Amino acid sequence: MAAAHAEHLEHHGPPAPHYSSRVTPGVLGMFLFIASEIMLFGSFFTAYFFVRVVNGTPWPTPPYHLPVYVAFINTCILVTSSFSMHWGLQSIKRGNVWGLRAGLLLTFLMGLSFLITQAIEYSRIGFNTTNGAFATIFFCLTGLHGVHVFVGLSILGFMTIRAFRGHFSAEEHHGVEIGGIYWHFVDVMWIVVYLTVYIL
Amino acid sequence: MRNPLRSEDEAFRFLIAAVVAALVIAGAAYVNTWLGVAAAVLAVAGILWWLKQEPVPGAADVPPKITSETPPGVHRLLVVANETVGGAALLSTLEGLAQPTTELLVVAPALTSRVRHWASDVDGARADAEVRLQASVTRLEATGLEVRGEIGDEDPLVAIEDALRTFGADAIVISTHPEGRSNWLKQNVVDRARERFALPVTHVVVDIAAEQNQPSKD
Amino acid sequence: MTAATLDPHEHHLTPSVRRGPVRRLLLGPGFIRAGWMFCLFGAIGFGLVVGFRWWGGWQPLFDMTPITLVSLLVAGPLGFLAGIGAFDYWTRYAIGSPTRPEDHSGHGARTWHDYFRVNTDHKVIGVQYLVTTIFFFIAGGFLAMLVRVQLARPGNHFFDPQTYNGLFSVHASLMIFLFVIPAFAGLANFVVPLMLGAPDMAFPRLNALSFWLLPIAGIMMLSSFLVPGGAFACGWTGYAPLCSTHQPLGAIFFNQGVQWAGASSIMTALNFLVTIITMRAPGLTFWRLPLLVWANFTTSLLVVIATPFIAGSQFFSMFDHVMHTAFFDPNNGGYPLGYQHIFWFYSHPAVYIMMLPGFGIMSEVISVFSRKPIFGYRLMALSLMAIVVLGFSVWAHHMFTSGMSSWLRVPMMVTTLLIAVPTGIKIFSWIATMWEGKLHFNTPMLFALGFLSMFVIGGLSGVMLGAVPIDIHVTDTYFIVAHLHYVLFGGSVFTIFAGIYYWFPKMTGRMYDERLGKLHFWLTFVGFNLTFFPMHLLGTEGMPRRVADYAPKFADLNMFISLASFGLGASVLVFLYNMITSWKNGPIAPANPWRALTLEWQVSSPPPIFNFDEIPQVVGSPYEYGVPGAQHAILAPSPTHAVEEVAAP
Repeated sequence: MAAAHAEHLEHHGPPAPHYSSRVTPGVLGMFLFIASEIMLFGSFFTAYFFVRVVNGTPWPTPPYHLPVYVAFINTCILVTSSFSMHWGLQSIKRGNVWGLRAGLLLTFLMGLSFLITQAIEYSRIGFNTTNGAFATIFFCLTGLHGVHVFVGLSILGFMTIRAFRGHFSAEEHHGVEIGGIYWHFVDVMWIVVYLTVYIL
Repeated sequence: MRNPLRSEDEAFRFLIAAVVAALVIAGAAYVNTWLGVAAAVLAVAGILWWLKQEPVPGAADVPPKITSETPPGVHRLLVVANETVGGAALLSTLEGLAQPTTELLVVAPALTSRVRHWASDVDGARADAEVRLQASVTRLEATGLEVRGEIGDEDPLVAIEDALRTFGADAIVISTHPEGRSNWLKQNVVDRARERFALPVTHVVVDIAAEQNQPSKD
Repeated sequence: MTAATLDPHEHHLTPSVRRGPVRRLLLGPGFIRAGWMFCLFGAIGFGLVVGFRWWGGWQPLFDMTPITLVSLLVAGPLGFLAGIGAFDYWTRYAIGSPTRPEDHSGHGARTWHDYFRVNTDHKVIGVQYLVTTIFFFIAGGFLAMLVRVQLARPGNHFFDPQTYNGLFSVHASLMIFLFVIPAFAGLANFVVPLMLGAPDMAFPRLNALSFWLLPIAGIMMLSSFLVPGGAFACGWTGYAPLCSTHQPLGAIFFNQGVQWAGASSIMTALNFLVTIITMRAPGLTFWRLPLLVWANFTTSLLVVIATPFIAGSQFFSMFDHVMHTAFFDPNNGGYPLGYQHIFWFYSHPAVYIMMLPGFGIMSEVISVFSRKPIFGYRLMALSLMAIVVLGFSVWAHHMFTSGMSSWLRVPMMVTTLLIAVPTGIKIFSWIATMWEGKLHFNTPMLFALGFLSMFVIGGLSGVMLGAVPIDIHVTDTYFIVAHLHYVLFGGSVFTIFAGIYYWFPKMTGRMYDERLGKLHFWLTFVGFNLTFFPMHLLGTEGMPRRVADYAPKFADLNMFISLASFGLGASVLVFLYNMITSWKNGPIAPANPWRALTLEWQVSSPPPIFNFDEIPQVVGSPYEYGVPGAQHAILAPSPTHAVEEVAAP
């Protein structure tokens, strides 16, 4: 009897939690996670600071060059992908499912081309991780960012699959909102990486 | 500074701000690397300023009001008063509002100075409030009403909310010193109570000094 | 009800797995699936590394260092996690399969089996954390015993120096990353949602995943002893460039172990922050939170902000080792001192991560067993925040003799001395809480009193060390060892014991044996002081730390310390015996044996599976002991005065 009663309670589940803040838990969790990732990038930028500013390493260290213009095109691609992401989210807020699907697909494709371009540049750049501090910082900063793009692409992939399966609506699109915030973070971070590594 | 980043919309606007700042920095760096660094510092400061003045989403929303129920046939009045708790104006208002079945709960928030508030030194204030409370409960009981007294949280609005959760009420009576001598009126307690609680709120002004010809201390 | 005839767990599983028992064993979430998925993912990792090296033309093709790293230390553990089911729900969600968010089949413990699987119940996860961390406490303590065996006499050859170095390195790593930090996380996991009046944490599945990262990290660190070249041997601090190059394979076991433990820590901290901000009961404002919740809130802020820096430092060290990068190679443009700056930027806040939750536990225990409100509650909360802020400004006090720019020393000294102020406020506050209170000297209170005295001693030696001239004299000597053990053992570990005893009845539903508890305390207190106090003298006399042998003049003190340490080690046996026998056969505990006011004591021991039938309403401070008529919360709203929130017209 006690077991059946316990199961009965189980099937009722927990009491609805009381929400003591106007920010939803998922969104707050994503912003806090982004804060910790910013700190991770911060440690890599600290290493960059030690190598470039404290040690005075020439940037780029001769005889190496950085593909500044290809990376600029890549930057444009990534920024555009954020626009398509935002457009997709705006579409589903208005109930436009196909707008969401198109936006997500475009974002995914642009993100993928960013990553592939980056990989191609790695193979053609003419130096590798063993070639000194400049090379180290280059590969590790852009590489850390690349890993985050990869994670972002996975999230985008999941969102796209679910969008095509009809999981999102004007009322329920939390997954897209949270994924969208992450993708914008990846984009902003690239701008910072691009500026510090390629431009300044 | 409250964090305005609470949804994808703000994240997107942050991205736009970053792109604009990047263009400025890149332009400056084209001229001179150190100029680019200076531009970067200014850009960060600019973005922080922008975050500060960006409206926090949801901040302007009106929070839901709190109400409470009492069982049928029971009439409960919640009276919030501190130094004015023995005032004649309050007593006569209560006698006017009361019905034969009315139960009164008098809540006297324990008021402290700012320093004591932050040091959590509330014992003296509680003791003072207890003395005043006892006097007024006795006086109210003499009129034949059913009265209980409680010391409440220092913040009168919190004290009201606590009392609603434990006692429930049909109406709230807030008693203050006259304008100019009342801290509660300075803090807008009555108006905020009307916004916060979906119950009728009656404001009674008690001029203790005039009633007792003694200076009041607030 | 048809469910009565079916296995209640099977009721919720998707149809594809509701086949025969052998298929379920192999394909259903559990240790068997975890085993073969570990091997599968490890093989994929192996293939990735070899394939990549073949494509890039790097020789040798089968370099064991990157292969071990990717296959054994990254891919394999991911396979293990997938196998035990940590990612099951998310995978179904991600590929768009139907999921039921209200599926509670993974929640709660009815039998002991439930403690060995992926469980979303914060109470189960809390116990899982505690048992796991106690296991690593014993492992780390055993390593310390081996250290003391070696140091009992000068000229001992029980261990060659390299192995000896591995002993104290793994000892420290286990104690820091696998005991103190996660034990506090485990206690908080159990208690915080209950104190908030919440049915669980904000992200229960993430909570479950955070736990399972921990055994992975611990096994990684311990198994470093088994690989060719032996365990990582540069101390838990692992300074570059010594530890980033020319190190055996074991070094990357440390690098990676820290990453897994760090990831676990960050995820848990995120969970706590979101839970505390968004899931407080009605009426529970920040200024009515129990100090344990405040402590975990501030600690979680520290974890989220600081931990990524140790992840960074270990990445750099590992990359220098495995990919021959030049982060810390001075011949190639690297900056060796950068390792220390980046490492200590986390590792100093880490010591606050290891202490602040303990401060929270102390506030709970001391107020309850003095039957008095906490003295200066708001200042206690503010001092926690002050420690968080100041804690980021003192890291270079670990680097006074590192050769860093000398102008940095005095500012760091000033901030270091400053941080004693908020800590001092707390000590005086606890003493004032006890003043004129009615003291009950049971085991948790004894550990609390022990903490007060021992932490003050550790704090005094800390203030001494904050002064640059003294630090220069005693740096890397046993004075440091004495200081750190006074604050970490006399401080953190005593609070962990206090917390475990205090919440034992709530967690297990049984009372521990009070006499054994007191015996454990006294053995520990005496053994601890006899072991570590003489080390202050050893240090000022010049005995270096991290040495396998020493000058004969230190022989007597070392022998004394070693003997005392064996006594201290033995005291843990009393604790274990008490825990195990009490959990099995102890007297049934009432809901509120300590007559405490916080919410976790207002429900049964152990609590119901979903904590509360209805969310409680908070109407007062949690510390109003001795105040007549004071209530912290009401549990069931009386039908006579329900409070609702109605939309504004």
